[in-house]
Amino acid sequence: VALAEKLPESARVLRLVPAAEASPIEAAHPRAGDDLSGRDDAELVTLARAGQSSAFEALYRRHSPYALALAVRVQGNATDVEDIVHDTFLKVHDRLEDLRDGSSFRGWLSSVVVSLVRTRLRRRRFFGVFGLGGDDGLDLEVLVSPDASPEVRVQLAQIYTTLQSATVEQSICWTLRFIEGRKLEDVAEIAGCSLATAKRRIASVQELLLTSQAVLGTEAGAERVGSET
Amino acid sequence: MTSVPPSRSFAADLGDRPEVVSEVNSYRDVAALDRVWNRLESRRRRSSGPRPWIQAVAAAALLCSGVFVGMEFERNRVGPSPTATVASEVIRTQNAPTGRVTDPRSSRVGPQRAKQIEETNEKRARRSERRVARLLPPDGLTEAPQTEIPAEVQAGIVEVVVDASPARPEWVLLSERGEYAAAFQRLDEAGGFDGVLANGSSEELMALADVARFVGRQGRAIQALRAVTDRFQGDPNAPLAAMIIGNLLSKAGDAQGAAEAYALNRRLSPGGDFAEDALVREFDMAIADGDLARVERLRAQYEAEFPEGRHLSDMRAEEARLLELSESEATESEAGTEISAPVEARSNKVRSDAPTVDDSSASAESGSP
Repeated sequence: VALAEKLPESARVLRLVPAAEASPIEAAHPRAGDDLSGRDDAELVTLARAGQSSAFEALYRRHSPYALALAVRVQGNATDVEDIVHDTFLKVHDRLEDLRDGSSFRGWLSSVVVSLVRTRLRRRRFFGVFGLGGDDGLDLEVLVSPDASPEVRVQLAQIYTTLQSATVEQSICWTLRFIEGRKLEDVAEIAGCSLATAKRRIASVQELLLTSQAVLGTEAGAERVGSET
Repeated sequence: MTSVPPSRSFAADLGDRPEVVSEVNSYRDVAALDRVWNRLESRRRRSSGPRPWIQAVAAAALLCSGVFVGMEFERNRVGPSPTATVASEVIRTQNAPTGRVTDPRSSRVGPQRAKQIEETNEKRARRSERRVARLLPPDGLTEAPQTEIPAEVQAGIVEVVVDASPARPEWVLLSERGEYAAAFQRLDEAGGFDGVLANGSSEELMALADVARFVGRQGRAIQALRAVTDRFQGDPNAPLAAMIIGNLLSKAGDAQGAAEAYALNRRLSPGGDFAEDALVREFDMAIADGDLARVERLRAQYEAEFPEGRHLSDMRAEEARLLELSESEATESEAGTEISAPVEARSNKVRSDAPTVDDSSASAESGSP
């Protein structure tokens, strides 16, 4: 109390905290050139919001490979993925204030990537109706591991061909669920739909795959399709 | 809400995960990510700069300041002094009393045309003055650098410049101001009368003739004029010089020489404005000589060239009178003095009517006192 009385008038509004609880100044305002790679997403988001460009760069370096790979896997090829990643991080940078929880940065980033890919796929399919462009097709060289056997390559090609016959939303949900291995809740959040919608979309694609008898184990798939009919 | 039929309900995770999807590659392209980051960085730098409207205003201000500096530089580089000197000299030359005599076009055009040209020249001079005034700095005319006259100013004054070279002799300038006595005295500085006569340009020779005439040296004047007709036959001053020679010789009583000079004028400028007057003067000289054959030839020539000429009736009457006198001379032995009086009277009338360059008119045109 005595110390507070000695402070100037303008400083009395400051909240006095014990030294042990006070966060170091350097933590809040790291110097330029500091290594930010050890910080978690929440801290980096906080610093990036405060205008620390190196923090945003650290976020980019950490998550851009994932964004790039996600865009390729959802889209089925590497066409324009550079632009998608660029636009994704541009949007993220501009809307960083909208992110409530910094630790969920990757999920939020995924939803932005998926949204941009969905917009692009819709546009391509729309123009394809009029014979202007259309689907870019599959690019197995970027999709399939180089060590994969020819049989696996064929099966993956059949899967992606089937996905292309589904709607964009259905193929995205299925890709997030089975290729990305996301939980259903995450799929719904990233796809921007309800959990039930996400389930319905995934089931629709599964039905397509069963019908085509391409994957899911030929015997099991055939049994299921046969029992349903 | 689910569209999956109950009979076909899958497991909680909506079915089995295809084994083959584990073989899906994780695409990596470090170079592409670096390129993307560079694009983001450049965009961030642009967006962190001043706002677009501030940039536009700054660019416009920079452009205006550049234009202003360029204009100032150009104004200083052009330098007003030589422009002002030449322009004022041109204007002074046009306004000088001897301007019409020294103007080459005055020997080729009629009085109406000469008046139009004079008005045009005055307008041009005023325009040149305005141009010069625009180019002049507010002060320090004499300290401006000596550089070329800009093309804009040259285009405005080049047609009115008669001889605006900065190295004009003093005596020429004095003669153009009408100070013939002083000009005659200064001739020695330019090599004397004979020096100018031998080496002078047509303009200088015409000025030399003016100086000689107005100091009473008619012979010297004729010498200078002869030099013009001999050495500068293609010059616009040559017909005028021939006309003045004719007038001087006629005044001196040399009818033959005057007639030759008038004939020379018509040869040098067949369609010129002085052609009719020169023909009439030559006719007068023939009448004065009593040369009936030449009178008939000149009358016929006048009739052919100027069928509506105002002197035609007088010329016919003179010719008839000369013919009558010639016939009567054949019967009477003394007839020479009887025709002189009427011929002289008509000749004077012609001189007073003509638009010309006899001594008196030349004096008026050249601004002699």
